[in-house]
Amino acid sequence: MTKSLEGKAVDPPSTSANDPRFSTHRGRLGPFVFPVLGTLLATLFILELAIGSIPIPVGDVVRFLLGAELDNEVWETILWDLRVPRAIAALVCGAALGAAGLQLQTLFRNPLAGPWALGLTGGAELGAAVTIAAGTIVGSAFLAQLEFLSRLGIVASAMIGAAAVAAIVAAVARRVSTMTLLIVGLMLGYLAEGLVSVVMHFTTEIQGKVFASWSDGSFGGVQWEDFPILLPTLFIGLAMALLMVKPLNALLLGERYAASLGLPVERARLLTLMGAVILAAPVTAYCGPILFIGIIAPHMARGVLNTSDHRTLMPAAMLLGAAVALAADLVVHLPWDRHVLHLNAVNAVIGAPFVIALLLRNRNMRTMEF
Amino acid sequence: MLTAENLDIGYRSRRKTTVVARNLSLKLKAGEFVCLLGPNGAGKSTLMRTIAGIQPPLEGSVVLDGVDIQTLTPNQRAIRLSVVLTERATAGLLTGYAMVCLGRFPHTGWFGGMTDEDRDAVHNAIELVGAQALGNRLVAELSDGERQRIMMARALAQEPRLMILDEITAFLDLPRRIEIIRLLGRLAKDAEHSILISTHDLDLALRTADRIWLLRADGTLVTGAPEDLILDGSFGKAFADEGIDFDPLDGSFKLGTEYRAAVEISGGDAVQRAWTSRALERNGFQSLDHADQGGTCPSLELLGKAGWRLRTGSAPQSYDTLYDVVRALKKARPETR
Repeated sequence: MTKSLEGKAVDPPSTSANDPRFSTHRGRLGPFVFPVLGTLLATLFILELAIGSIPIPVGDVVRFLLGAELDNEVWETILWDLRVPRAIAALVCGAALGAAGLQLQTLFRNPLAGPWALGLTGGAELGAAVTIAAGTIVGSAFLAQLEFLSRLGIVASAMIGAAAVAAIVAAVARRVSTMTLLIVGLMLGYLAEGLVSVVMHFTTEIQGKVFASWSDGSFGGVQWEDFPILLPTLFIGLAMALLMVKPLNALLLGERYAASLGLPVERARLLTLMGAVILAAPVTAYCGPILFIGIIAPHMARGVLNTSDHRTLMPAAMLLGAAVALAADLVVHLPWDRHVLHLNAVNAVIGAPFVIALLLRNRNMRTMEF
Repeated sequence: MLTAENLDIGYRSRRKTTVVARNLSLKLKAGEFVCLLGPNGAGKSTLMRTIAGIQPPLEGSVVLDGVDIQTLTPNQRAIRLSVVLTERATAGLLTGYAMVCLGRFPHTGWFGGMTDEDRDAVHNAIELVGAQALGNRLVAELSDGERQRIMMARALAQEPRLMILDEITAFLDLPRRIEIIRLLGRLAKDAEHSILISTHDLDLALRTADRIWLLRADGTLVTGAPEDLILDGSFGKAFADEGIDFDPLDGSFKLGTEYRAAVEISGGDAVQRAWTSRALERNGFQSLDHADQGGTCPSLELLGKAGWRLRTGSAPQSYDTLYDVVRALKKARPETR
């Protein structure tokens, strides 16, 4: 028997799995958060398939997803060749960005950290650009024969670029305040983008144009052939993120406390950074630099769950990242009759006010403690 | 339980080695509450960090339960000792309960899932420090004292053999300080934890510690029961080095001001006498029970509730407050330079 504050004897609390007295969450957390998020995601996924310049009825989309054959062959082709890969790309890439953002925010204890804000995206962009340019110089005919390998090469070089920036950011992080770190990250990002333009100078005009549209960000460029590389890499990254929830929880308290709790801090830092690189680099290589999703998804997760516990926060950040990516892409390919919206334009229009509101509304955020 | 012999502590960088303190010999027994005292810069924090295994000793080793702590993995070490640091842990959206749960970190598996045993430990810890009311509140919204309580519960939930708390009372007001120190003393006895704290709170340390570690400015360490250290003059010596007079009678400091004059005091009860002396002393007047200087020094008669009567050569004056007494004395005996 244990004693309560008033000295009355109460039942040992250990018998119930869910403790009635204390909660790791502020306020009440409905058991519905994850089902609701799942439903939201499924709805967005189906809408993403149904909406477009050629609308397809939701019923047919669902039947198609369930494996039925559609009467309309054009619809089937559109779904299979264009919209399904695009939706899957948005789903996994959004989840990856959400997870990477959460990892970076906790690791650097910085609410505005994210793959893009810390320059990882820029680094990946530069890595990819160098490989593409090198391909042009060596000869595209040669590369065309090894298309699979060249895709792999682009992903690998994007990872190297992102890892290089991550290493610089991590080295600087020890010595500077959180605000300075963000500025350093942003500058590294701009530096990388500047270098990308320089590199592009040496490529053909056509390739330059392709690259320019790539840097607007889009899930539409991903095709079935890309999945054998993209999906396994991202799944490894997502799995790493889920395996790191306990160390991330300890890192919430700062590195000294984390060490005192028995966390090998250096290893955890390295693994977390590697995880973020593995998530952010392939996304950038295939979809271009994608802004804001990595920053806002973790905050949405915190807002929905009212917790800092990564055991629930991490899956929620993934689901919300995927949901935001799908929703943004949905806006992009609504049947606009005049012109095409860019993904990053949508992200910026949604994301920038979101971040500003976060900064202004949250008392802790103003002092950069979150 | 914890021993160290001929321990040298300090920092070693690529270029040079800075020794903070040398040849320390330490012992800490199970269930003991030990206070580490010493002036700023003597190396208290370095010693705490060395004992906590956060930084390696330059020479010698810290042995906990027969094992050199430097040979332990971080996890093994966390099971044996827990720390509460001066720095504020950023807490995000953690509730008090979630924070204490983090104390189970070295005991839980890959995902940090809690067993019944873990939950029991967390509840015990929360109850031991009396933090039940804080469990569902956000740590970020707690006051400094409440936050320290939660951090202590977290350190307790770790179920260590030794708890190390650095400057835990630094940001707290006096009642909170007394509360926390008393709590620690009780924890050491009841829960059989050994507790080591560093503090500047001389008075509280002297009253509560089982043993004092006094780290002097020259990097030497003396240890013993508080009273022993006072009786053998260790305290007096340590503080004399700092230019402070230690009063072995009541275990506090004298400010070491020079007396400008003596005052004869008479009458009054013990309390009034004590505080009158204190007021006089603070202002540089030595209080004497019976002056035998032929009436040259002022005399002060204590009249209980009626106040004070001061005679400074001329006719006696009555005063209601010590403040006025002191002002009158200062006027009568101006400071000589």
